[in-house]
Amino acid sequence: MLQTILAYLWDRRTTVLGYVVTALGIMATSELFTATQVKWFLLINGILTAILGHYNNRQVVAGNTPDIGQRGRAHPVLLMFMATLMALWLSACATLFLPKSFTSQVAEAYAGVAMTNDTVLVLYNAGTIDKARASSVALQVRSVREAIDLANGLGPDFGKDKLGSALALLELAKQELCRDQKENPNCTLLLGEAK
Amino acid sequence: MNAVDILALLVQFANTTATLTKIAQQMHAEGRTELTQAEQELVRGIALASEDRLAKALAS
Repeated sequence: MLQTILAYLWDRRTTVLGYVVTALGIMATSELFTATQVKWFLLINGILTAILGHYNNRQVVAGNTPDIGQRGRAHPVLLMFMATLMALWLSACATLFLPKSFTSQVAEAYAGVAMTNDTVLVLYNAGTIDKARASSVALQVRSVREAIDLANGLGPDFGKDKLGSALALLELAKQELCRDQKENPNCTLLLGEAK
Repeated sequence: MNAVDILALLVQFANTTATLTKIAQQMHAEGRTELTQAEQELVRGIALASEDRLAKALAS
């Protein structure tokens, strides 16, 4: 049985490597690996791909191309392999689906404040926004930071609503900062990825 | 707006994200769901530092 599975996977080695690398890539983008582990994966993937490419080229020249032109229904072994990969990925990602603690939400709110302040600073230094607007947004963000301080002091039982209000105010400050700068890369960063 | 400005912001964002990632990894390794007092102060410090940088720039 094991021999059959291994033979099947070997016949479809390029496809299998693709699935493995994709699964690992998804896990890496979910920050499930350390930077060092990602570097090793990249190095090993590069070496494996180079070796596989070279080997496949030799097979093509020899007229033996098991991994090319395969058609028809997906083999149960391939489906099992994909299901296993999916199960591994989901179990690895399970930690990401845990409910966020209050202190984690507070930390993310502080990070949002820092990113907004830094964006104001860069836009102001670049002359994209004037001093009045920069000061206005800075004042709003300071109020947000003070509200987060208060929410943090109140704790999870009493501070949750306050934290929610603070985050809503932060969003308004971001919108005010970027109201006519939607195409600006810094605003794209702030309103998108850094939200 | 030039590439240097965008790069400067990316570096700041990366610093903030890196700090949060390190804290998250530490929490995961220790099986915690809550940040310690020191970690909370560290993240708050990042926000305060950004506020300070901005205030200085606006004051000059």
